[in-house]
Amino acid sequence: MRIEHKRARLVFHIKDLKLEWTIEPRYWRNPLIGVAGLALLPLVIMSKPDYLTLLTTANIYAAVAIPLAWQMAGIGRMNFGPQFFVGIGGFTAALLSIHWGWGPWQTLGIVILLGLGFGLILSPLTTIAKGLYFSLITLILPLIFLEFTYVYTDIFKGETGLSGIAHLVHFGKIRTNYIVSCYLSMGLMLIFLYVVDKILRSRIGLYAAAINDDEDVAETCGLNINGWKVLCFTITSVMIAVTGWFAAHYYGTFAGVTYLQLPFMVKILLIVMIGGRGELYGAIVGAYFVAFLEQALTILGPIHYIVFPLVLLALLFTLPEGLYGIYRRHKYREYYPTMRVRKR
Amino acid sequence: MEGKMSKRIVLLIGVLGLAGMLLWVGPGHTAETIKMGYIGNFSWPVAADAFYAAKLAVDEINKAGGIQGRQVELLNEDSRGQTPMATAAYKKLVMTKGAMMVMIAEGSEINFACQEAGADLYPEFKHIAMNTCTSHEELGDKVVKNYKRYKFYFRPFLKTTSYFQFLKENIEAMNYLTKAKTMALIIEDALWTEYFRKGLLGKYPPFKEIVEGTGVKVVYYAETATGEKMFLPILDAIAAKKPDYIYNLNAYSDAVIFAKQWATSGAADIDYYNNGGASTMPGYWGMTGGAALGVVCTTYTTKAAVTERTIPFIEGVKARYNKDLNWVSYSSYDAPYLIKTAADLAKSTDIEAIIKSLEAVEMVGVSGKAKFDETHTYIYGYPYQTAVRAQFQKDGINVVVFPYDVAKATNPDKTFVPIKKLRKGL
Amino acid sequence: MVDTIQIILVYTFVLGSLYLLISLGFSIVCGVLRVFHLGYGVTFIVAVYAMWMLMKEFHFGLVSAMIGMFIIQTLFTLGIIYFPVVKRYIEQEELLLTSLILISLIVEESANFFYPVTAGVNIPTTILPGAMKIGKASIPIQMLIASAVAVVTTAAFVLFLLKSRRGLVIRAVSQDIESAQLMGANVGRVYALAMVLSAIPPTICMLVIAPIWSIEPSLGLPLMMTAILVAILGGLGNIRGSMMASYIVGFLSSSVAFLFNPRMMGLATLITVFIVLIFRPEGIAKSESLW
Repeated sequence: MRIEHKRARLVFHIKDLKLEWTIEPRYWRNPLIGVAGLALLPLVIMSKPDYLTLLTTANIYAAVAIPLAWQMAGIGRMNFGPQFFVGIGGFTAALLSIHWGWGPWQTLGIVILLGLGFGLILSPLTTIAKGLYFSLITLILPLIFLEFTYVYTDIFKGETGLSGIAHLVHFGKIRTNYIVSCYLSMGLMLIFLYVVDKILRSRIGLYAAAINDDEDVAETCGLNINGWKVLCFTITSVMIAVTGWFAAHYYGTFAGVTYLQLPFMVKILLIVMIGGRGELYGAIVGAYFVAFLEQALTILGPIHYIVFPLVLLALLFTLPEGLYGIYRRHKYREYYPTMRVRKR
Repeated sequence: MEGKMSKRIVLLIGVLGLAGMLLWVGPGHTAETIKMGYIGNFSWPVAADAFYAAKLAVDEINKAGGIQGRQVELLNEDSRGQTPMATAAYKKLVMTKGAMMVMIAEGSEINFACQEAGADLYPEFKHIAMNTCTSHEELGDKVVKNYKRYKFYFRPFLKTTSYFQFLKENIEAMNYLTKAKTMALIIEDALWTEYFRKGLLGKYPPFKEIVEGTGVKVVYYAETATGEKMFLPILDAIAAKKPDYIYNLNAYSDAVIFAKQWATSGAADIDYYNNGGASTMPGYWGMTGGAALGVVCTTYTTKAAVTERTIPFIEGVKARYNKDLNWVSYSSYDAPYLIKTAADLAKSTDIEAIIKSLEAVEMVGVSGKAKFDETHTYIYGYPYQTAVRAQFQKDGINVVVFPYDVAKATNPDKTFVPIKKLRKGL
Repeated sequence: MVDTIQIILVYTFVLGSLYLLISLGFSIVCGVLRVFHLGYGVTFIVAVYAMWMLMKEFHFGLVSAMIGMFIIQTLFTLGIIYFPVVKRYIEQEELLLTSLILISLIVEESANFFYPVTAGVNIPTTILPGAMKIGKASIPIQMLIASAVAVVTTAAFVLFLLKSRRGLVIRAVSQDIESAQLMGANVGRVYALAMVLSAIPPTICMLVIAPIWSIEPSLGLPLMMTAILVAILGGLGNIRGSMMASYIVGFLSSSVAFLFNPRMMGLATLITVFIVLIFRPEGIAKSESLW
């Protein structure tokens, strides 16, 4: 059997037969295989609960990175503070659940509303603040939120965080809870993936690409760039807030120090970069890779704290476009924003 | 030629890698060994060093024949200080590795998360959790409020209310040693100090009132932010009031900077008790570059015989593993021994029996007699749990000053020296 | 009331000078290389721990350790930060930022691995112990020395930039790269020189404030955040702006601390910078280049 690789296709030559397989996410069979593989994964590892938690954590990271990929293209700027909305979603869910005893499916509605509200309030930033300054503002926002949680310690419980948040599912057996939660996280991530993928392939995606390339040209073409930017920012903020909601209900605790500080932002940034610079499918690859790498390296003992960033750095050097870039070299269109300190 | 992979193949590699990790199976679960787990953030020196105290205990128990004839195996998991990883480690230890006791050397957030995870797991996976590190009151209250759900959770450590007792002892000691009539009180503004700043409804008034109840006047009172690095304004204000000593209650604040700034400020000649934080660490003298001269604080490395087991324990950890000691070490050393004592009392290794037994057991620990109260927390107060307070004197030598009989036994020819004299070089 | 104002003024000077020293290097990198150096904290960590390593492991004396540390710092800046990373990725900002963050993480974790907080790292560079009373405020003499050193260092840098030929070239590159190249400036060399220069103020800063500051592996991040906030307020990459901004931030911090609540210091600074970013993102300075 001979395998031939032609542009975006694999051609299998078996004796006289010639079978072709297109390796592009657009070819519907590929995502189906991918999703099927992912869906089987929890069943394979279900005997090891720590792997289930790992998979869920990886899914949560991916669920933050996926809307971020759309957001970065759609508003043409790099967002250095996605964890602000994770905090909003998480704290809302936590406070409602602890003080009023609401279950996860009741808090979800309020989380979406609040995410929408804050997204709308902050969306003018996308139009007012240019390039670098938007990134700096988003960098500062989570830190301001964190300071607020310290000032209002009675509500937000400062360093300790809120605990006793209602769990997502309540079945009799503990193993069932874990597997169902894992599938829920996977469902969340796949829903986000589906939604964002469809959006990016529609007209809206085209508008996003145009805005990212050159805003002035897009405006001359008759595009209401402000409207589309606001829409993109608001919807992605809601999605990220929902991720925060999920994290709060899954772990049962939520603390500002875990989610609102720079290390978490660095992790998300690393996932985006390792996965392939704002590429949609790369976000999943990056999230899984970083989450599993972090866990796997703990075998090394205390030195893994040094080895972890070292491995990531080596990876960035050898694969500047991240893991997904290996695939993306086929593509000739690249849509991702850059951040410039130059004033031009 | 660049590597050409499709998303599918990348996914396949991911799954293969996962399978590879699965194939790596840890040591088999034999019916004979008892497994104990230790969860901590190994990039935090406190948890990393305290692990070796637990290791020493397990080694000693094994040498003496194990628990009810079964050898003990100690497993450790690195939580990296992150709640998700800590809860995953907890589940792994209990569900996959079959650990019957898990020590949690982490702060309140992770303890709450692990307590909940443990409560969910308990009906099907019986085990015991031991919190060796944090004193948050609610962790113990939950055991009382919902005994059936949280009965597996024990804390061989202080809780906030026993902390009140501990603090009062410190104040009374300082009053006596410095012959004080006035003092300055600083409390860090954090969640764990809420009860001390505002009082615990129905049980204790604010700490300031307790202090005044011992007969000294609080001439200066301040609450500091945990991230504060500039204490000079406060020290200036204190110097103006001229109290007989300063008492600083903190855990997250920077005790090193405070000492450095205190030593060069206008308040340098006022005696100083630092309650908590870095001062309990053995490197405090080095970290402050000697500015800790005269500071009175709790010490965990001075060879003071609180019980007959304390000194062998301190020497054992140093000799075997060359590691430092901190407050978590003492609880971590007691924890395996508590299980052994309870199992011996119940004559079985059945978890339910051990829990009942733990509630009744009274053991000689390394920081005092060990007995649990109804919140499954150590009872505090000599002859039960206590702590050694010492003063840093010339060249960083720790001179034990309290409890008085421990001080007399440890350094009979040395005693508390006022800071004014220490600064002059006596 | 007069006392409080006097204390606030004294602390404004002391804190402002300190912030100036911290953010000077960041402004130089921003202004000349046009790089948002998110790994800036690494300079502080290398300064402290290289010195400690030389003194403890190799038993250097204080002065020789300082000289050795400066050499290590230069080698580190050029050999690890500039040539392999900055020069390679200067056009691809996301990669550059991520690599700088990763390098900073690696150095911080290495410092924590070899010399954790309990190792008792201490740099004995106390020049004059004790404290001095200025009106109602009592300031450690070391802190006043730090402020003086800050002012002198900044003055030296400004003089260098204004009077020397190299400084002229650096200013030219920061204003307009193409024109500078047309005039014959070797941009690569200027960048390398700027990077080395940017490592000097943080090193001096750590040397002087080590006796009165907390020394731990994670000291890089808060210092970098301060530098970022001051730089944003003053206009990224402009030394004049940084000078003004550092004293404004110093004034803000001390007045909030003494008039309201010390806990609000960080929040006040963050909110101010936030508002500035919305309404006047270019910052205080009117110029877009280094001076």
